[in-house]
Amino acid sequence: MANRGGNSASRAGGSAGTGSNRTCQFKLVLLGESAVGKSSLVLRFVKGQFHEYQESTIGAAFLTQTVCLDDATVKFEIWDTAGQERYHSLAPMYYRGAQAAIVVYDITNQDSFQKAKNWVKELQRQASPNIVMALAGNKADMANKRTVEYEEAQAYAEDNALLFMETSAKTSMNVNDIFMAIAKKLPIGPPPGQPQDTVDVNQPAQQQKSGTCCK
Amino acid sequence: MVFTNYPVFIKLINLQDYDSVYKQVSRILLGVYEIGGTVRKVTSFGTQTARSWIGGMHTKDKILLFNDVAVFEEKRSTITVPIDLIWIQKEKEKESREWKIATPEKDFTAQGRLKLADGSVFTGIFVKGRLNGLGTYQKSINNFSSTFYDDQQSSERYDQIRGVFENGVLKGLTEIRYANGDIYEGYTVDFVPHGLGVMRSSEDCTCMGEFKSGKPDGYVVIETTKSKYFGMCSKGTRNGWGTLVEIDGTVKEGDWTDGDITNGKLLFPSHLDGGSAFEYEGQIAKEPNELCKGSLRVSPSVLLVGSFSGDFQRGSIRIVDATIQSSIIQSPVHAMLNGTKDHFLLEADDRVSCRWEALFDLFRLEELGCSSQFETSTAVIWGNIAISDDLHLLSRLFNGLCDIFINSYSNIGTVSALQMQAAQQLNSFILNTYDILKILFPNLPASMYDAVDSQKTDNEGHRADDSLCLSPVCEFLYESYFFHCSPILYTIYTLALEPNDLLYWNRLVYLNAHTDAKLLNYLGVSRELWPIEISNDVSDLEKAFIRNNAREQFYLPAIHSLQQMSTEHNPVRKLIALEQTFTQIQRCLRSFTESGQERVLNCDDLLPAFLYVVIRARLRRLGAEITYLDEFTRGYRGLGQADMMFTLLHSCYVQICREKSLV
Repeated sequence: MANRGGNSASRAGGSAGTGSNRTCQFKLVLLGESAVGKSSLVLRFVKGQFHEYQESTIGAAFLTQTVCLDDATVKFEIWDTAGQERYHSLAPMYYRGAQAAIVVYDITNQDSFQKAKNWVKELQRQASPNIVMALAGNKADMANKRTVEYEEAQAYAEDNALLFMETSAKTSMNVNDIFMAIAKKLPIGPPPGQPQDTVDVNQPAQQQKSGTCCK
Repeated sequence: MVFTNYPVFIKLINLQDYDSVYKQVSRILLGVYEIGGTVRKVTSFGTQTARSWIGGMHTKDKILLFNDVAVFEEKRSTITVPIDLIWIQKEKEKESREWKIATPEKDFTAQGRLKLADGSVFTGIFVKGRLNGLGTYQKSINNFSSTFYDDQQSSERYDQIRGVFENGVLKGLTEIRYANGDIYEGYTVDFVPHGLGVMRSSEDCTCMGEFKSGKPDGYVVIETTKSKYFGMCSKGTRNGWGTLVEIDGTVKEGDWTDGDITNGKLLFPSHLDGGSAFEYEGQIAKEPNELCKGSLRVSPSVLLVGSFSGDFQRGSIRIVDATIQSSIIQSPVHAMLNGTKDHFLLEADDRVSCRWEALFDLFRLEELGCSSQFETSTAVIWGNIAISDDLHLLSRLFNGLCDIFINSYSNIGTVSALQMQAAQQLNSFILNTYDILKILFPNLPASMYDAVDSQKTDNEGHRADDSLCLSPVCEFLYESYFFHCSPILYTIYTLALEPNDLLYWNRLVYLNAHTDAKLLNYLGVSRELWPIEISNDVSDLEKAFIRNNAREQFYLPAIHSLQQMSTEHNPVRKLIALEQTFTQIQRCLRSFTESGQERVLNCDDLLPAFLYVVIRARLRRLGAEITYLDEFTRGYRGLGQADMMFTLLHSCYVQICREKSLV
């Protein structure tokens, strides 16, 4: 029960020590049909360059990773969802309160792209209005078996104002980039004193000493 | 009715209104006793009234003993005394202090006196026949058995032992007033000083320190009019390392054996009438003629090394064979500059610092309730000092709030409509209590939901950054509040969630009717995640059979962990049980999968597997559990892993409620 800084510093992850740097916590939810590689994508990201990977109690269903931006550190709390059709209807419980979502499809599977579109539609309708959405066409390393054209997905993403990238969990192509792109679009703590709805931001009182979390 | 060899009944209540209870139809006569006959053995009354009354009876008078009254018959008149009879019987061995007490009522609580045949008397509040609370035990030190009459004024000598009894056993601090005038205050075992305490004897001797079986043993400070001893004792005498300071300023420090110093340092101070200070260090003999090796410092600069004899205790030391070693005298100023110490000072080392450690250990154990072997959680310690102790001001606040809560929402107040309000009320009580705690302990984290040990690091030195916030600071408050308030609260939740839980239960019973294989298959648990332990000496065919027909064989430890959840009243503990369930799922899989190909569970795998566990755990009121958990852990679940686990549980519940049929 030491000083109050203890907890916030520990949550601040990589940014501990740099006084002015804020850490903001965001909930990111992964959606997409099973076997499109949702969890491979996120495992690649989490095990990647920044930190050593720590296994959590619930495996890859919940993972965290921090991304450093110029003026802030973004900590992603990544929630996986079950992609099976029969559990589809439970998804709202998972994406409730999420500030970001990655909808994943498999570029070699047209059907999964259709499913992805349905997810996007559902999120637009039901998720929080400020949610940052990204569309990831996974398995880009298998371009020879491609059934979803890049342009088609690109056009769809533009129409719906989604971040879009083709990724490969295998070669780690664009994996960090897509998370970084999301981090940049997230509302990182507004100037002190102006609380924002979507994110519980740093309370001014807690900002003084160490990096704090948005919690 | 058999009265055995010992005083057989005692009177526990006051003797009033005798006559009003006489002549009742339902009364059963148990026995008739004649004064002067056997009754002399069986009666012993602890009140003036009865005693004086019996004393005045003639020998042929009788006592009629009924089940609830005793009737004293005297010539023409009778007097009825309502009594709560109890029969006491010594259990088995004669030496044991266990007494079996039988009563007409199932149990009784009464202020009373229990007198034993050897004259010992227990006084205090008896609960179910055993002393409880503050009580006194008078231990007779006379050898003859007590006589017929009670005898407080008699010249009988006894040791009086006063303390707090717990179920007949003396616990904690005790005061013993011995018949010889000695007084002991401290810890005891079996009415004998044992543990830390102070013995003030009538002969102006005070002994403060550790006792074993009635005698100073361990580190003690013994003060007499002439000396003071700081050191180890065993079996009541100086044994081991110790320091004795005498009234004339002589100091003896070293190893003691049976009361005498055998090796060490003797410091003789300078006297006003001449004679300068000197110091002897070495062997110390009891006999004046015995040779001892040592060194004698007669002045700061002169040291004699060699053999000595004489009466060391008195300071008359004969130099037998010694060489002089002189050194340059340092002026006091010099000594101060160099930091050298005076020769005539005793060393202060670890032996001094560890002297009263027993006291701190005792405090840890008795007052804080933490044993040295196990790590005790802060919550438990807090609970012990602040909330369990009735006299503590926080405890008064806490008990008051609990009473308010229970009175508000009990009986007619237990309705489902009040679910939200009751929860809100309790949450606000906890928050406000925490705010008050913060006044008293300003270093507490600002938020009561912060983890207790946030600086914890794992083996590789990582910050346990992603660990669950499962031990929030407020856990001890939760523990205490929910212990008292959860029965009512939980009933309200049960009522409120009754319709949902009914639906859930119908589906659950249906789903549970199937074999493991069928259920796992139905839920979409991938075949690689069907952990089952089948011993190797079973043939492959049989294995397949066992696998396909198993019931409750898969994920059994996880199922048990989840069932733990409903036995806990504290939401923090419930959440921990939930975490345990996931840990067990991982463990089941790890032991199942062959080494090397470890699989990281993603949600596609985890949700169906967990759903299977939830179904098999058969928690009757899962809906109420979930809502309860949600309400009281929301504060510290955050967005983290704990929240994900909660969401998994919640979604499983929803899924079960939605299940239509099992094909």
